[in-house]
Amino acid sequence: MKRDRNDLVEIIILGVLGSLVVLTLAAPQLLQVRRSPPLLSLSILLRDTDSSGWTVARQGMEQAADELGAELRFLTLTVQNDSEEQTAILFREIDGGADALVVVPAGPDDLTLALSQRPDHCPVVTLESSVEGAAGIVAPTDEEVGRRLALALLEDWTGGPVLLLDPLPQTGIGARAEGARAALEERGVPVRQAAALPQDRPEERWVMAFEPLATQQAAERKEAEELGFALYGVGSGAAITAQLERGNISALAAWSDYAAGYLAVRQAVEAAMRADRQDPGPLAFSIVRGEDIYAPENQKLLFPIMSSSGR
Amino acid sequence: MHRKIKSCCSRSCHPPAGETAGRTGALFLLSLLLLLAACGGQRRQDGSLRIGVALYAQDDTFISSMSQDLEQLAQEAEKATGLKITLLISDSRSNQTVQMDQVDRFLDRGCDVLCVNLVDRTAAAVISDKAAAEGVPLIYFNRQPVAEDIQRWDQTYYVGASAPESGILQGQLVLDAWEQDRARWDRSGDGVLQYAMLEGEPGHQDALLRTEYSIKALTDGGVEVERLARDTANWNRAQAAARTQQWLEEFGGQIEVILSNNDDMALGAIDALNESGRPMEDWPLIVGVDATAPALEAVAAGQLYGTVLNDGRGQAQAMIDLALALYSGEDPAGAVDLTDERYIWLPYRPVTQKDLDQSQDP
Amino acid sequence: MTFFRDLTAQWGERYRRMSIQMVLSLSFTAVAAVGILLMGISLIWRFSSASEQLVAENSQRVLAQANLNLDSYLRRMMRIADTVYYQVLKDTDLAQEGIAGPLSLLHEENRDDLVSLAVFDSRGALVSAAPLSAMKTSAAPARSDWFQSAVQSMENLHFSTPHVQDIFDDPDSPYRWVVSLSHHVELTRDGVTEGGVLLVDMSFSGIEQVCRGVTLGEGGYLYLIDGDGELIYHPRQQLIYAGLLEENNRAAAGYRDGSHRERFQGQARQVTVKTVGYTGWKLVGVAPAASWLTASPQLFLFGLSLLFFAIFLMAFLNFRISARIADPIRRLEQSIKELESGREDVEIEEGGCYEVQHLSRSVRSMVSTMRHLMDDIIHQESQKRRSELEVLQSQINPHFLYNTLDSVIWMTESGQQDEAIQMVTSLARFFRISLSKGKSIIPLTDELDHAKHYMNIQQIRFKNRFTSRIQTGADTEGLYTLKLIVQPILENAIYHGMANAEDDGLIQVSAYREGDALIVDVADNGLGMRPEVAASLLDEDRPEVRTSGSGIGVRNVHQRIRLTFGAGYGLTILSEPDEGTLVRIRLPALTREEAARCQEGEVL
Repeated sequence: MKRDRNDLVEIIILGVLGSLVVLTLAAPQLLQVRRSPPLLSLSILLRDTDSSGWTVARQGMEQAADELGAELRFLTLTVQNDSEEQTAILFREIDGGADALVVVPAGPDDLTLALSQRPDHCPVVTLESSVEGAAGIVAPTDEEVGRRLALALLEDWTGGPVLLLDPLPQTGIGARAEGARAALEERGVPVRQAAALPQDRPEERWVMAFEPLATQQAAERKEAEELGFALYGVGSGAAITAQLERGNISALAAWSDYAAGYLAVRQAVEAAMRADRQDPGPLAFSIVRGEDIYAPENQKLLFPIMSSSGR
Repeated sequence: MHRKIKSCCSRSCHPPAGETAGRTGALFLLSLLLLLAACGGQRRQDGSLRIGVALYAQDDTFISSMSQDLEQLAQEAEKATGLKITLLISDSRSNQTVQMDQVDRFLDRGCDVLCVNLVDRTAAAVISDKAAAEGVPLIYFNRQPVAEDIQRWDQTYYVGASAPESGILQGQLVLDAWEQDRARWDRSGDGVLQYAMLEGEPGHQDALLRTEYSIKALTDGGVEVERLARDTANWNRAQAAARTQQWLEEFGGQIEVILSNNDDMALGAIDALNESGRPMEDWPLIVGVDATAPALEAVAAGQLYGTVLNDGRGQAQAMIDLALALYSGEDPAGAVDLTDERYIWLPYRPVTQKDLDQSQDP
Repeated sequence: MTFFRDLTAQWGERYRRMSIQMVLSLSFTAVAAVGILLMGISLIWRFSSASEQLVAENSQRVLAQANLNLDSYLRRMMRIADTVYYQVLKDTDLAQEGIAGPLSLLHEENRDDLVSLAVFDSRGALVSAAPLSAMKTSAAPARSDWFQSAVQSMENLHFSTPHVQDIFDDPDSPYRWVVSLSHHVELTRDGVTEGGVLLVDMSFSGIEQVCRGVTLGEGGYLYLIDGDGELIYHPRQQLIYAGLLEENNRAAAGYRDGSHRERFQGQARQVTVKTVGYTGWKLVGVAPAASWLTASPQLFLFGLSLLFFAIFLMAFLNFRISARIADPIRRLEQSIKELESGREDVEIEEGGCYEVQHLSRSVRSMVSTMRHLMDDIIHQESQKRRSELEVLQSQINPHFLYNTLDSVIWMTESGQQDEAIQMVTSLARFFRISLSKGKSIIPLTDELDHAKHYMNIQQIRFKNRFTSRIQTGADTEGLYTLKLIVQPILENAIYHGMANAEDDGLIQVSAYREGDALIVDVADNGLGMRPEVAASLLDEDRPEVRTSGSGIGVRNVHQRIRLTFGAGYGLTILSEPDEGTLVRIRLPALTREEAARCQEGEVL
């Protein structure tokens, strides 16, 4: 009886030790398997027809994807700001097994509706505009952007109404316009809002744009048609900065697209892995004027170093 | 090991003890086997097509628009076939070492097809070998490696436009203009075509071939030519502008035609002409290659006489089709138009103001 | 505390109850494991300190190599500046010829590393540049740092931190990051010399390439700072610029060349610093502590695996060894246990190691000695009983003989000749049977004869106050019995049952067989007695009360039977007052041969 029990104890001890040996021998392989988990598949839904305006943000996204083990799919629309198409792509990506989505909403309301239709949806992080039901947002404080940009305008203001270009009223861009309008009206400056610059010469001598593309287009028209308004805009790409430098833009509210892209992907990955979230808070931005463009901190903000994305 | 111990203590070993050793040994072996079984394949097969695209430099206008085309076409193909297509695009920033790293990463991540736009076309052998080692089909595009390097790995293809053709078409554009409106273009009236040549990056095959074949087309067409100036402007608009400015100072109105290896440089020449304040009627005839968006605007505006459409979108389409065929194991010849089994040549198309009008009319 | 004590007590108890094999193997294994573990830990400790050293050396070597590369790169740039100055500018009168050609040649030759080459006059106006480009209208070279430091310290070459080139206009690929090298130069114009500044804008990627290829082990990296700690190159520079990452570059600027340990953002790491010549830049190699402390997890696991394997082997060997020691001991223990339980044919085997063999030999010899001693004791004991028996037997006779002879005398005196003769004859028969040639086991018929003669004698003595009857079952023929067992009972029946009885007393003796047993019943219808008295008659502990006759006789018979045949045999007394008494003698039914054997055994 006692013998049997001893034998059993022996077998158990030897078995445990043997399996520990095997386990520790095998662990490197197992660890390796665990160390290279399948890449997360992240889809980036833009609201533009091509991703050329997002080159810098894309670099940031790729940096984050690289560090955190994700793979990015950039998806564009066939028609600028077509929220219906965006919703369709969103559903297709969710069905296609995306682990998380980063969306630049074309229509936040439509997106909110879309997300509420799909309670099982994968985490969505938005850029630019906040959306209900999203796992996170990466954007500067929009009202503050509008307000600060309006204050920059007010420094130069010599009278006359201000034209606010607001192509997407319900998005974060609209919120920026609202912030600017509030700040301007507080000072009694007459304000007019429009979706785009009028085809003929605008009467206003002050124009504010709240979106990089609109800013760039306004600056290009101003340069090409030698329009006499002062332009205040947002953005940080090379094309916009060149306009700022040439004086076609008076002041620019700029933030790091690189940081925005990086943070968006990081948040998306964290949401997809259900890891602890580090809320980055709103993006920091600054108002840059043409003469300050080469100040060291503005250089870092406005011009991306073509840093090796490969490593 | 067990055997040895068992035999040396067999005198005192009792049946249960021997059994213990046997059982433990069996346990050990079993777990080892399980382990080996667990360490099987790792390659990910999830029914999605992953294409790694290494671009030589994203800041090249043509390459950049091609990458946009690739993305859009992939999205369309995805919609059409229902197959998930993931494009991994990397920018080698004109550095072959960086490109090598990126190719390694693509292979590491289990790309199904590799598309490489070589930085240095002499480096193709290494990339071909890497792809062959992993058994991944390889598509070179835009920059053509030598035939030997394409033969290295039998799943290697080249998608591009034939550089001589672009030169010939460019030359023919000039030839047509010359013959139709000699009064306007032969400013000196000596019947000899005085030209200046803006060349691309030294050593680049397209630069060499376009330079040579455009002139050849002219001389073959029976036009007598005289080169006033040539210089490399590295495909770069600003450098071309500076060169042209110099030439304008040097030769003034003598230059009758400016041939440029690509559109960016042609636009640089236009910049310089704009700068000089010369009236448009006095401008030399300028031709480019590539038909980029700004160049087409310039064509529309009449500043650029013509350009040769380097069908980037067509190339992108061919690459996507080829990648899809290779992924699904179909015969690529059924999907794309193969020449010499490995080459897909996309035709160039001359574009002038007339062509633009036609394409806009309907 | 109490819990701890309880636990120790519990374990102590368990330990005490553990088998020797378990104790041996477990303690051996535990000691071996602890030893191997200590060895492993010390090895790992030694290894990690050695590998820290190694990491430091490796970092220094790698940094030295990077330094060399960077140095040669910078030297090449300085050579370009020197070439421009000494080969181009010094020999050229700017009023007569341009320098665009040579500049462009130099630029073309180094176009992978150079963004631009430019010469400015002392007011910051562009003299010439390669590649040919227009200056930006907003550009003000004279105000920039590189210009001013070149003017301020004319003899030196100056390297700037990375910045965006802001001088030349470039419509499609603007804003390139460059590192500027500036040098004060002398320009000649119409034979008059004036000051100027040469600017060599190195492409940032040149420096990046030198630093990027450098790997510093797992998680290690290298970055480059200027003398003030301003970042020049960092593998994640853009993240730092975007404010998403921090680097300890300011602190690193204060380090001297060599390896240092630092903690940054809660992470211990080794930082190796190497100052680049001339520029005052510092190459900083960072190796996180994790890269050498845990060595590599693979290595650690492999060590662990070896350790477990060693313990596995030790445990296996220990189990075998302890089994070899403990098994013979356990078998010995088993044998002794069987001995204890009374088995006689226990085989004690010799086996195992020397001490155990010796022990089992000792036990075996001890057991055999014990058996001998026990046999001796049994023999002596039976001798003693035999002598006791003989004494008891001899106790009967004188008393009876005296009474009988007394009666014969009395009869003879009263002229009852026949009766006297009959009595003497019976007496003679009685004694003959009593003696039976000294045999203690005699045929049943003899014994009953003996009883009959005794009754005859007593009937005469008691004047036929009672009658007696003797019956024998046919199946009792040829059986043997212990001699002199019926007579004492009859004596008892007469003296206690019949002495005071009237004429109707009856004593009946019947012998019959009951299975393997021979039963002899002696029944009387005398006074009888209370059952408890009857039961106490056979009690050996009862004090001997001598009454007339002797109760001792009955107990004597009982003892003799049991001594001879064992506890299964003897007397049973059933009695009721005024009813009579039945004494049942239970004996084995002995045949002749058995009787002979029994006789012999008794003699032995």
